[in-house]
Amino acid sequence: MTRFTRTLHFEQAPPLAIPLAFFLTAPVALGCAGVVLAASGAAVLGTHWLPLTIGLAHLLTLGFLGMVMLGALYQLTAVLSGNPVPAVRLAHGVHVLFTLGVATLCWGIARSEPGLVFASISALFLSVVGFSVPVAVALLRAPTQSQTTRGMRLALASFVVAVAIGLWMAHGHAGMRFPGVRSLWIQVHASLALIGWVGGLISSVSWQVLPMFYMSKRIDPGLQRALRLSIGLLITLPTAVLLADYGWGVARTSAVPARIAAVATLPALAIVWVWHPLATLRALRARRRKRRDASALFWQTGLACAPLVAATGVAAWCWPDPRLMLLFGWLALFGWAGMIVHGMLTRIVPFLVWFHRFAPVAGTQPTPSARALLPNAWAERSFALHSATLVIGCIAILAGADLPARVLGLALVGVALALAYMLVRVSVRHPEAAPAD
Amino acid sequence: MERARASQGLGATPADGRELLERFADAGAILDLRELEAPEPMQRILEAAAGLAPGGALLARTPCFPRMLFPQLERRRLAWAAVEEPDETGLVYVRRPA
Repeated sequence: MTRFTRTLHFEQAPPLAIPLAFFLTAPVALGCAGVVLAASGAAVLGTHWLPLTIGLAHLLTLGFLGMVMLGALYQLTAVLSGNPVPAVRLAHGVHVLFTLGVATLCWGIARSEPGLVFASISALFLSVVGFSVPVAVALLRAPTQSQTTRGMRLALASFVVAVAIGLWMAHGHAGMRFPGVRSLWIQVHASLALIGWVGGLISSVSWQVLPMFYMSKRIDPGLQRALRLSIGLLITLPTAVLLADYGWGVARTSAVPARIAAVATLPALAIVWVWHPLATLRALRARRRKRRDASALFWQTGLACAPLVAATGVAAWCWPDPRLMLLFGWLALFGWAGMIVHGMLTRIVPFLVWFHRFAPVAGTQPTPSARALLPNAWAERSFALHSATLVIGCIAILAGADLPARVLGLALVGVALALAYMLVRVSVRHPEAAPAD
Repeated sequence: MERARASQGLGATPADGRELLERFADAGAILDLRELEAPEPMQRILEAAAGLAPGGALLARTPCFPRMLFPQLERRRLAWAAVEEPDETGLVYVRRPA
């Protein structure tokens, strides 16, 4: 076979246990965030600078979104690029270290315990190296160099740089000196993580999975190229500004470096939160097979939130009201990315369970369809809970009152429980005579 | 742009859909599965392949290049060839060895 015709052999595909371990941990992090909010009330929603708020934000970004995205990348890299991740069993160690790292980071920052933050830096560093090196090798050697594969590579690069900056900054929470001007470093860290990593991955994966799972129209290749260029700019220029600040303290004496970093973010921001969502919503509206589908509703709602995220982000940059920054974070994490990730889980987990357990016996015994493994009614219930929680969160942030904040915490626990129930119910399904995973 | 193509147990991999259809004209009607969401096309092909007599063959059009189908066909010791069409759909030929 030629390089282009190499196929994915079953033995090389990641075992089902690998993505499932990550996916099943994600609702635990979400539930923990809910418990913290329910216990703390409005104290968490004062400003995004509070240690407890930073800890809570990282439960959502790393514990929920990051956990799902890492698990999904092990599978998607093999499926979408046609090249399996080498040494894939290393993923079990990555999962343990990443979980420990997230837990100690959030706890350590929230309780201002330098020892725990130091422990989290080691665990997260090792887990991110253990994850990103094999995935990068697979993506670089992929026989299919599609726009999706290229987009996934840039998203991964954004993730690595965002984590490197984050771990560098975490030393500031571990009793050491902060590496530079704090607002600038946080701005670059957040934009790389949110736009480059989360946005880059959601966008590039959507080009393949939306036509595959939802029969949507294909996306304009011009958008795909523009996204790649803008994320390339997002990674290089703001990172160069940070290095200049670290080396020569340029941001301490002038506001120009911070402006350069902010302006370099704008093209990627416009593409990820305006162009991509509008184009994708249009493609979903024109899908060939329109049927009642809660999974698609998650996508549509998440995409519809994206322009609001952009508008709130710009407003928060212009007006120094702490509620705007919190609202921006909430809409981005739970509205835009959270909705899409939640929706993806309702489709990808039944697909994987079907592929690993039911495909080997399809044709030899009656097998349910992947859709039958996760009834639409369960996904609809999860969607209703997620949407209600999103609205409660906006009210709690804008009101700044104690009761809505505690209700929000309980609602988050509800979303986590509904998601965990769905994932567990699907992941225990086996055919009558089950082959080994 | 170069299109994905792959085969197993049928000699040289067809260069494109036209060559595949010319070389494997024994399959009869083409199953059109392009309107089905993943993994339904795979399920339909595996179910149809299970009913093939020795030497029997089938052809199917899929919504995309069906990379994840191939390991399942190999497990069943079926010969197969697949090409990606210019519109990014897939064309698959499956034969049960005589």
